Amino acid sequence: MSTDHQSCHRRISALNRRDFLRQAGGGLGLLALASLLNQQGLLAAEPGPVSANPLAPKPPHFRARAKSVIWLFMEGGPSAVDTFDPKPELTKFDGRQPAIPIHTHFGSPGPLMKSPFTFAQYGQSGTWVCDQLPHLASVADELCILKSCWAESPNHVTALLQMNTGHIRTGFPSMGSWLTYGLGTENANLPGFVVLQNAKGTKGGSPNWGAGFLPNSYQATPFRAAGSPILNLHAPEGVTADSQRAMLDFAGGMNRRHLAAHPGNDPLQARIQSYELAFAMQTAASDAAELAGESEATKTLYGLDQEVTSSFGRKCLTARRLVERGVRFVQVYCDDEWDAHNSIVDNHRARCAETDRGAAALIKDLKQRGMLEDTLVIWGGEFGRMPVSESGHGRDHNPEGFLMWMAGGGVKGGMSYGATDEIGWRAADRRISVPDLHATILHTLGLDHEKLTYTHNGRKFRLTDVSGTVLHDILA
Amino acid sequence: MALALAAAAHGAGTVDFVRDVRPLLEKHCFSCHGPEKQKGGLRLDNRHDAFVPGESNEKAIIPHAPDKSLLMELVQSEDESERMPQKAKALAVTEIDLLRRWIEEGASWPEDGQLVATGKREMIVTSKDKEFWAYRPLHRPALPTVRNWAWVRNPIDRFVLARLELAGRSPAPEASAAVRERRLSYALVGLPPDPAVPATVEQLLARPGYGEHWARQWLDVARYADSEGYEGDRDRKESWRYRDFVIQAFNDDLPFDRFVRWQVAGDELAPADPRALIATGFLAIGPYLEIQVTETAEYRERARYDQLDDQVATTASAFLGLTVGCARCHDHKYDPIPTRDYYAMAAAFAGGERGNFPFPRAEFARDRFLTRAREQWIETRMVELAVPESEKELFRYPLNGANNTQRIAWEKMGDKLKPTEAMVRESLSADQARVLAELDAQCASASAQDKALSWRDRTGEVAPNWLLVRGDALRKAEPQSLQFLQVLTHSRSATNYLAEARQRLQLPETSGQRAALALWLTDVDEGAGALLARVIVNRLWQGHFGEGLVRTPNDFGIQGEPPSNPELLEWLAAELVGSGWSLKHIQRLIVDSATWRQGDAHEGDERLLSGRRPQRLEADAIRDALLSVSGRLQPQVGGPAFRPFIPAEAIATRSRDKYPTDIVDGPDVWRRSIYYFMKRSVRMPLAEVFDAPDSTTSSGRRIQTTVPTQQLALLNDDFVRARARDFAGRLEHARLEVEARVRLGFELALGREPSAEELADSCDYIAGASLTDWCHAIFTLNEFIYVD
Repeated sequence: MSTDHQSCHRRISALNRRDFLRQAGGGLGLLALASLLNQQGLLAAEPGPVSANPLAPKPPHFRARAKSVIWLFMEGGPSAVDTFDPKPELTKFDGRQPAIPIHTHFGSPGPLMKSPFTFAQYGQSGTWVCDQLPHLASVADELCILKSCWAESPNHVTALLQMNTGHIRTGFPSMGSWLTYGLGTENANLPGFVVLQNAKGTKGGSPNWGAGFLPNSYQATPFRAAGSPILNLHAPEGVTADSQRAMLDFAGGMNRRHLAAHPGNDPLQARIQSYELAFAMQTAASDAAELAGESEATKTLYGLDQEVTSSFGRKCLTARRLVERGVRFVQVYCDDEWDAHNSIVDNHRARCAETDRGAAALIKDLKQRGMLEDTLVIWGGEFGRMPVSESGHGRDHNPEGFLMWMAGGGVKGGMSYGATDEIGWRAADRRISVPDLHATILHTLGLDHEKLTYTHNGRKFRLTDVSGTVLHDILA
Repeated sequence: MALALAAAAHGAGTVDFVRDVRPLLEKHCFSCHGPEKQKGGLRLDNRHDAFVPGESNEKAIIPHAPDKSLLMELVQSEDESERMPQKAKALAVTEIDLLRRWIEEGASWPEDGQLVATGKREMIVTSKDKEFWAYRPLHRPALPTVRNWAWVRNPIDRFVLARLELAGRSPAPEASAAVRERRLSYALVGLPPDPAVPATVEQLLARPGYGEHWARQWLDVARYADSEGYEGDRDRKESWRYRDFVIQAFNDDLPFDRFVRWQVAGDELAPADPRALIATGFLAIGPYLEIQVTETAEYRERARYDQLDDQVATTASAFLGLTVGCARCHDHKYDPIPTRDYYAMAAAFAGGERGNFPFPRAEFARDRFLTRAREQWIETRMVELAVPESEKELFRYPLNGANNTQRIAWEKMGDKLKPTEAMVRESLSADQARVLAELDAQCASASAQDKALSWRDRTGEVAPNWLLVRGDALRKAEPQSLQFLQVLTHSRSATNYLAEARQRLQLPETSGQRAALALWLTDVDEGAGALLARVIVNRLWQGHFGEGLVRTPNDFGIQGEPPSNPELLEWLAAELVGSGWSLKHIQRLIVDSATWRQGDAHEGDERLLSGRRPQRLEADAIRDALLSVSGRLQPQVGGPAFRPFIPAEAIATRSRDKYPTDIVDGPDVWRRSIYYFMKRSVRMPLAEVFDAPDSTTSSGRRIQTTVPTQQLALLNDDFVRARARDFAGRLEHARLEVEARVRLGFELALGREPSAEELADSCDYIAGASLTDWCHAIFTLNEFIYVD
């Protein structure tokens, strides 16, 4: 079974590559290159060891449910009890001191505080959603809400690192890097792992999507939803597309002579090929980021027509376009944080307003295009928030219990899994650790989290380090 | 329960089974009374069997009764036929005494050899473990005999050729003089050769560029950067002094053993030498998570152990090519490194502090004295002001202004807990005042108040240190004193080194533990020195050949790759030690060898070192080559880092110190790449895309990738285009004819003459495009970024 799948996968990717070489550029130099590469057996042997391209597609360990992942990262830590997990007990005991002392990150916890929002049940599943998220409420039956997540750190940066890399320290590869290392990219003209950042800069910065000790080629390429999407994508001043093509053709001739003097040198061959990929990427990446061709209906669906929803909406739409083009993992950060220390009403109302529409649109759009079944959408932050108040009306960080949701990608919709205690403080029933989340995500992509390893400084490392259990109950 | 037991057994002066007794039993008894043989029915390698009578029906060990224990009788017997161990030297008097005291004290033997910290049977490091090639004592292999004597230029070649001849292969023909010149220049100074001024090996080794080039490798190994990392990612204004120390050390050919000792304990071993104080930056330059004082005590303690881990792991990786980090939570799975060894090594750093400390000796000492006095002042005042215990922590840390809780607490206190230096001075006892007066007198004659990011012990007292349960900072299993890796410890223990260190130092204000570690690290005969030498000669080899004789430079353990030519590695290590640890001596040997001078590799296994493969330049060398070829490279050596231009869209950071966005392309940024400001949260795109490591952990080797974003950088980056314009300007200025410009361009960028075809193609291309485009095209060539 798995062998069949592997050989099938290889054939398809090799065919894609040939198609690309035939179509892209189309100049004489390129045809000559394709023929040269064929002679060298580079195309035929793909993705074997002859190819020095670290991003060449690789077969998964077993049948994959999802081909790609879009993670809507709710930086700052959204509150569970104010979004998808109403707690009657919390409402009942509003204003009372909790029976057990709760240690909060910034100290001096206030009394228990009920949610300022109202909740109702939606869809056939009767999923609870707060009144601030009407658009997500309309796709309630697609959501699989994981209500018993917990993480190790109460500090943003270390918690972000854990959510992204599995470790609270810097130096480890992010999940997207592991995926790209494990599966390569389906579209050689685009990066395999893309991050659409928080406009203000994500806390902790690039280690959140870095490759750690994996080769740098597996790190995320930051992609902007407006302007030139990636760094160095456009020719510098004074260089036109034609003059660049001419430059590549001249350099190509020199490079081939150089290669002839070093027969059988794979890195040199790979780099010649890589120039053509870079040339093609200039068009492909610009095209992926260009939203003009989308219909008005689609743009409206994502909220591009409203100032408050347009930034996150653009990112969600760009994410869909990237996944459509074979990008493996897209991480979308919201532009402001759910870090509601001072006022849960003000903060969460604003965050919901900014992100609700784009997130729901993404699910609807993917479904409409038949892409939802093989695209795993994840929504969640680095931790959650406390059931007790902070400075009157806010909530402090809570890594002890929080929620995330998933949709599509072979995960059951309209269900919830696990629970926190009755006030929403600690994960109680079927607790989900960060490695459990990672193991499950890898599983949906056909990767065994215990087998996806990389040897660094004498030790085999994996994303889930020494733990992680796949949540089989949520898989469709 | 188990915890209480362990603590009780570890009182002062008591004999510790694991530390003192088991090694002794292992050394003398296990071979006949262990897992393989149980002569006389006696087995001494586990608790259960050791207390069961053997065939003689007498108990070998009777707790509290050494005189009734058969073991004591037999090891002390005058009758050689009866005395244990049989057919071997009798135990030393000290060893017998140790056994006796141990039995007297109750012969405590932890349950089944179980270690509280791991809940598992504690790993025993055996003499067999010490036989692994990397851990063995250094020996100097005899030079092998070869047939093709004519090829041999120096001993390296005999080791290489012997292997080749054994495999029925021959070396590749020598590379052309032009190829060798370009290779030599890149290998020694990291720059293309200047065609106008050919340089010899000695001239290149004498250039500042030698240290500037070779420091790069060591700074990768030492996870060097100029900011703290994590969210705050504050800039470190004094980190560059460590970088300059490394460059200078290479240029001065500072003996490598001293280079190592100073990085671990320069402040203790050579306090009068500013370089030695600066060298301890090695321990301080790792990423640092700024800990808010309002974090819980648990969180702070965990963060402290993460810091210790950075130091222990980096020390082991950088100097010994060993991965001890695994042992933080459990005994190493593959290498004979028990968890105990990890925490025993951590003891060296447990009582230290990082900071920007003045490095003239007297001021360094005065700074430490005043820092402690200030802390004491605050503690005393807090008692007087009745500050509640729960709030004291807020005032122990300097006010960093980042946190409301702390700020409010400070404001509430007014200036009551902010002593000026004068107030601290007034509070001193008469004795303390005398010490300070002496330090003041010394400082009066010292020079400027220069500071460096460095490391020092807080006080002369040994700080408490613990063995943790599964690496959990909140579960302290038992106290753990300073020890070194058992597998690299021979007849001298940490106690011996510490005694030697203290005797040499005569410095009461520092514990001497790091000095002891430094002495052990560089002790070739009794400590880790043999491995230290193997690891560094391998790094040098890798710098020339792209991969080391051991291809896993940071892992010389069992999971690492064995050396492709073990005798050569061993000989080079012995040669290094024999030369007084001169790295330049090894460099000379390598570049002078016929092995190094070979041309393109034969088809087949280049691990045999038959020929060479073209090597891609590393990120720094690519940037430096662009500057050098375009005639823009600034010669300024050392000093504070410059900040290269980084497009605003590549700067996504919450760092408290913003990265400037208004940097202009000019002489300030045309310096060598070793001097660019390495900000952990804002990586320089050109370096990042060409595989520069992320400087969070020790990197022994840059992985080389080929991805389209590298090509996008060479095609589209403004810096590259600007250098192409400069290169064109340089050629236009130097030559009138297009053909002559092309010839000079080839010479400068590729170190060779163009062929007739290349000349014609180039002229055609220039006619249709521009000289700038041609220069830019040259920068995108494989030949430009690869060295044959």
